[in-house]
Amino acid sequence: MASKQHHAGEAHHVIPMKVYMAVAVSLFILTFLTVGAHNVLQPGNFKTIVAFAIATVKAILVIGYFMHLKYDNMINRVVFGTAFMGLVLLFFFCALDIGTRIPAEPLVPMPSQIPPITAPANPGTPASSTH
Amino acid sequence: MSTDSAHHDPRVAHHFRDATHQYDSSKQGIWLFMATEILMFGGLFVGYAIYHHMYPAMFSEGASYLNWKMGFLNTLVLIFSSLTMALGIYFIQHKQKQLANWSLFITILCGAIFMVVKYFEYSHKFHDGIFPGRYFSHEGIEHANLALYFSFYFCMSGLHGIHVMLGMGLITWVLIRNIRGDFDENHYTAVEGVGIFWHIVDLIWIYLFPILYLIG
Repeated sequence: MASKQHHAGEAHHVIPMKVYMAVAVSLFILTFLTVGAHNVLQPGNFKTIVAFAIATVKAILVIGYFMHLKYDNMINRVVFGTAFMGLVLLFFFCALDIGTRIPAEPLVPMPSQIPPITAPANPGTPASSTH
Repeated sequence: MSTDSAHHDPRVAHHFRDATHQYDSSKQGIWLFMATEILMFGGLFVGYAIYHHMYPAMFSEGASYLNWKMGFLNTLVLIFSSLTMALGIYFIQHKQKQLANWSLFITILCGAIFMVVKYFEYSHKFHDGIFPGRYFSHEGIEHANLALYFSFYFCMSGLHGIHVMLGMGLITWVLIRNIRGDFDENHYTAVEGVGIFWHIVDLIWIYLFPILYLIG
């Protein structure tokens, strides 16, 4: 590394104006496409996938060009990518947990439906009769 | 070789080898912060995904209370503000200080427009008794637990709105510093960091718009 003499500013990659404009125009078009697909497609899984796919293309454009990650060093990409891996783990284990639960009793009673704890009517009854 | 690190630039702190080293380190910190942002919003997104899967009809009903045109307008405003933010850095890189100032100013203005639209949306909801969780008092709903949708709506768009306002404050800060002449084509780390923050606000909205407004 000592052989590499850095100038201040050498690490700053300058993205041409036309690239910014092309990215912005693409983002606008994709936003119209999102709304268009919403109004045309029938409700269902496919519609959700389309909306999510368009959003992901937009996200990649923003991350790559506006946030300059395309031209950034590898460690910053890894740092940012790790967050998404964390999200995948979070989603996976939450979905695994909830998806494999045995259907529970109809509903847990709301606090207002639980009878208030009162003194036992018969003072002779032992307090712990639940055993 | 590496002992020859004496530099005279007052903007480079003494524990950095040179300006590039300082810039890279600062930026790495920003990206670590961005990772925590993704994880913070990610928790809400995962919760949303699971509850949406459990009660799809209820979420559709909730989305029908939102005006997608408002969300659409806000999406366009935020994308435009992301462009002007990126151009602010571009103009600093090209020594066009006045244009950079204007770009940053327009970015703040777009943030304000976004918040004004959000204000109208929120006040309309509050007027109809649409509040999160147990404060929900809107009459004539189809799904008894519709309040759950609005808990997600207010938490996600509210947390996002807080980020927009924080971003506006941060851009104001770098705008003042740029007017003061703190930055030039080689030193603009603060603008770059604030820019990345502003873009992640846009990034999150890109997902929030379809999942809150365009479902069902």
